[in-house]
Amino acid sequence: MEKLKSDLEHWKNEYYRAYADMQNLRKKVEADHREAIKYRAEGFVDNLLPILDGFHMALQNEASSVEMKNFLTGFQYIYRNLVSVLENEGVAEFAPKVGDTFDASFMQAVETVVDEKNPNKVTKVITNGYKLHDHLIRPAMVVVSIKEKIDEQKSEENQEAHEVDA
Amino acid sequence: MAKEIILGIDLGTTNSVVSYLQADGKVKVIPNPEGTMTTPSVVAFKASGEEIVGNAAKRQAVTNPDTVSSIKRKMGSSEKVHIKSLNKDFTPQEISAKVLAYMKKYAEDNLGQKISKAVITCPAYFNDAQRQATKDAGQIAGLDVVRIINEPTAAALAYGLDKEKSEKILVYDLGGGTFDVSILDIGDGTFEVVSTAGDNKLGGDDWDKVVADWIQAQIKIQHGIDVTDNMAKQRFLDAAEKAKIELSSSVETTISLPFIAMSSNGPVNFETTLTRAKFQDMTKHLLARTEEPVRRALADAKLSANELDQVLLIGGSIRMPAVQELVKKLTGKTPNLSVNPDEAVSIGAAIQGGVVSGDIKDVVLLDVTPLTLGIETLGGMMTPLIERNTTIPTTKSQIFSTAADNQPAVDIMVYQGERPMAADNKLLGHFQLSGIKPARRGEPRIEVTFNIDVNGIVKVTAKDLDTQKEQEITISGSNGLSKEDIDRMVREAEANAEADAKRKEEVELKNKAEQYINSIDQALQEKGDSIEPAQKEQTQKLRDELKTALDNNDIDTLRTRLNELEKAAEMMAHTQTAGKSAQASDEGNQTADDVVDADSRPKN
Repeated sequence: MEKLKSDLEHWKNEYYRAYADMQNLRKKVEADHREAIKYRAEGFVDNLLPILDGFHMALQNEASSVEMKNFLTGFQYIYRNLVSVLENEGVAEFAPKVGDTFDASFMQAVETVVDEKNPNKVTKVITNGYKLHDHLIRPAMVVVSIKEKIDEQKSEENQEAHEVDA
Repeated sequence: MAKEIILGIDLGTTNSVVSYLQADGKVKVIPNPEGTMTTPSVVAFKASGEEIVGNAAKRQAVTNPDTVSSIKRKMGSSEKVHIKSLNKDFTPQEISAKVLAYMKKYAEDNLGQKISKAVITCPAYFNDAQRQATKDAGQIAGLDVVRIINEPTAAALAYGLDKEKSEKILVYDLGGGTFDVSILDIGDGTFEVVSTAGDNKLGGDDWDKVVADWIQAQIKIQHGIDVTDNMAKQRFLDAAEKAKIELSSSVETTISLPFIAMSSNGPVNFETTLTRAKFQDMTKHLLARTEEPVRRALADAKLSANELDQVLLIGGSIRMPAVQELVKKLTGKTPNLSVNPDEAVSIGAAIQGGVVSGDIKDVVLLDVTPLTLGIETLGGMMTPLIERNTTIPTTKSQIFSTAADNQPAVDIMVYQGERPMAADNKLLGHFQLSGIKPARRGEPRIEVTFNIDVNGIVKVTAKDLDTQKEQEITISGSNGLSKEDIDRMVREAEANAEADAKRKEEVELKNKAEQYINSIDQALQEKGDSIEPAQKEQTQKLRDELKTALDNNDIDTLRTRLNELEKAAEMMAHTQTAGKSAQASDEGNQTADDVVDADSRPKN
């Protein structure tokens, strides 16, 4: 009799647990599904970035003639249209300025230049960065000032530690 | 209270991955806050005391000498890492702990609960000191490391290999920066690593570098300029990686680098195509470097390639077709590729976590129906009630009706199989529900319920909702089919899909035609006098045409006439309310409101 009671208790517990598990799982699946919808364009946006970069690089050029200037203006408009379509999808473009403080949460340092007085600042912006809602699709690529030249030997050693073979 | 979760962590040299076992027994990889499944194993320190881990740490690496990566290579040694800005030394396990703590944190945020336990993986060649260091790292991060398991063992678990079955397997792991080969001997409840070999300075990044150098050389040939600035080099590497990935699925790709440099003629634009053959040719020396370790591992295990039962490929770089071909050539086995190669190790660790907590045992108890279960309906069609691969126990019911006026009984024929015509499937059993009150076809409501219990026993009940009279049958032999029978039945369904679909359409058309004839007859009989003679004649003519086509099995005519009729009926519906019984009568396939999927959730 005692055994039956405890068995009953056990299965009752299992039964409720199965329901709880299912409900929790469903909540999780629904949350994941919302995420998936929110970020559905992620891969697509990623593929578009080299194209945006191309525009960006083209538009940085100085026009040497009136004709070329008009062409560039036209391209500028196309570029802006493209960016606005992406913005509607939730993409945010961020364009750091020279002199901004370097922030690794959305910038990637590609190169460094020594500037003792003014370290950790953006000295050149190579490409803009892009975010889709909260996901960083690609950081902005920048050149950053540093206080002193990094000892190559030291950083090499830290970054590629010695092999430890068993 | 939520169930305790044990994380599965692949603590890698360059990247780490964390996953967990869900309540349904499936493993899910947890994305980091930036939305990626892998997190760089990089830690950076700032003079302010701030610590950065993961992607952000990697992004600021060139600006900060106190950035530590590949610390895994130092695990277990007494060597410390000096952090200049803090003037402090850190042990390798302290650095690894920061990566683990970061992953623990985002896993907790993602799952909305505290986590205190983990299974962490390490290379098969790790010695005791290195394993202890890995365990210590977990402890420092606030994780109780319930197991340290070998990476190849985790891969085998991810592939669902059963430790009770005796097998010899080779695991070929080509990651971003390291290459490992292991041979496992599985059996008697254990996974034994028999031999390991590898090259810990070889990975997918090397393939990228070769292509990047090639791009640089091509620009020099095409444009006569040597582009060497760091930014351009970064673009070469990005383009190279993209090309490599594309060449895994296509045989040719275009590398396009607009405005790659400035010359006296303005911007330099570079574009070229790279074929898979060319790519494989320029990287064949890298691939060759994986051959020797495979041979060595086999030799150390005293095995010849044909004694291997399975070959598993893991690590992102194994997506390259050349790698798969090489492994096939070396081992004579077609490699198993069914698990995401970047995530396999972490997935295996999460499965091990489930085994430790006992969750796995709970999960495997649940079975699925191997084939669809249903009943025969009008025209010999199979109407499925429970689709194949439904997890049991389960209950499903649906409401059906009669096919003829004043039908006194219905025959419930229970079938199992994937074919749309009942006769092509396996008859499991049948019974009759009688005593149905005289009524027009389609009016009686008969609820058919399929109930499969936890032991796979199927009970089918038919209930006349009018009289509450019911009849049932219990079928226990539904799982008596062998694996071969089930596979054969599924295969046959696939092979006959086209012909079956055609037959199904024919039967549906015939059912529909019969229904129309029936309702026309009814309408003419009931309201015959109120209908204009011309319209009556026309309707009668249509009915006869339909009947002739039906009798002669003339499907094309049936289809055309039915289309016309449907259009006419639509027009009629606008002018007068059509007889209700005209639409609702067929069993199962019409959207009529008397055919409902009953909600079978148990209450409470």
